[in-house]
Amino acid sequence: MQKIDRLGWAGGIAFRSYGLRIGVRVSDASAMETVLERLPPGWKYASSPIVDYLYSMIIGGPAARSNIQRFNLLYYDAGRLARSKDKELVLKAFESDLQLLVADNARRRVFVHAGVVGWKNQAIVIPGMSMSGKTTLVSKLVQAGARYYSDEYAVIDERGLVHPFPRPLGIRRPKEFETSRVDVSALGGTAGSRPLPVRLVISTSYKEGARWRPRQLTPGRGVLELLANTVSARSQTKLALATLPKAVRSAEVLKGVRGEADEVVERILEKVT
Amino acid sequence: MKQLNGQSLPKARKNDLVTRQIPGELLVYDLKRHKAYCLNDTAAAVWKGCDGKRTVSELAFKLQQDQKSPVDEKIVWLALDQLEKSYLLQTKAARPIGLPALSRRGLIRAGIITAIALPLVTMITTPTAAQAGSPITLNTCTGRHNNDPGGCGGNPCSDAAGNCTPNGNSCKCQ
Repeated sequence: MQKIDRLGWAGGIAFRSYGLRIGVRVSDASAMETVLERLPPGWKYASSPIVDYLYSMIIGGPAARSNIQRFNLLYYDAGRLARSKDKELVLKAFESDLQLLVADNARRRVFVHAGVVGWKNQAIVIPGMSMSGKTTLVSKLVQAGARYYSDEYAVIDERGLVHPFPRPLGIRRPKEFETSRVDVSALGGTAGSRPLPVRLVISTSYKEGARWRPRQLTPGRGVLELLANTVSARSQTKLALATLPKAVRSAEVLKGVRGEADEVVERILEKVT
Repeated sequence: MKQLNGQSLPKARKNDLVTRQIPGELLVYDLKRHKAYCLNDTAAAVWKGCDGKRTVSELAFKLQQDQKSPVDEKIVWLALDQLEKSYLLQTKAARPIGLPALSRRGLIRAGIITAIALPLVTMITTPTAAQAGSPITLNTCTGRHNNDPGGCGGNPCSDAAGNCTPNGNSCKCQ
């Protein structure tokens, strides 16, 4: 760590996010702008430079006296997270790791990997792993008039209310792995800002040609569905077990595979009265 | 192990578990195995009654009193089977010779229908933090140096056909 500390740092920021104090320092001040764009939604400047978690980014590029291209490097504490000549790749690794750090360590909030929309002042939560079709369903619900809350995490507080985590949607083109970021306004929708009670939990994944015939689960089974996608399930078990039952206490929990998102959007919205 | 007339008495495991009672169900989290269980009312009542002092007959009698409905001993055995498979018993009950393997469907077929719900234990394995997050992109994975944690040591990372493990910072190498 001392070796990294000795490097010249041209810029940095200490910020707070979900109760955590996090720092980022960069070797080139011009990179700060792109770093700020990658911070979690709702971050705030910290009043003190002392942080609990520290990222260090060394910006590469052409060397001064040769045609050699230097690597961009990303460190978390003393461990190297990424090394690439492509700065964008290193920034993506930073964003992904930072999001996970916040989700796993957040105080008084439980992060469930899920898509969330608001409809009639209630939340529809769609838990699921990546590639299960969450973002597709969320974007179709938003296009149908629902408010956008998140396509990545349902952030649940101690009262069981869901808070927005409105980063731009990561939309995948068919048969592609890479995602491109799309602002919710580009879909003709708006992002929600108020915490909402959960009315519907939909555990589903896309299956070509399938018809959505979900079965209703008990609240306890609903908690298990959320827990199976909870980032801090292992590290903050008590918090998760205290919080998730409150989120599902007045929710209907449905489980079943679905076909095309267009075919289920209307039925989902009809379930929220 | 406590025994009565040569029979061991079932005792619920209490160590390394976090429990949460919700209406009609009991949630149990196993901190050792990182598995979460949902016990319905009947399974929860049997589990709570397993104090290492009661026989299966006494557990059935207690359940009968709690639920105010007749309870066949086979229902208790079915619950004990499920609890044992879930590692929620510290001491399992010795099975009487000749008692067949029990299942919910088997009990219904055998005509053992009661006013109480048949015991049910549902289980999930909780993810690691990284598993619950989105996987890194293929390019990010490829951009890692061989010696980085999760680096592929010079081998190409798995392709976009779903073979890149959603395991946070580590890639599955081809």
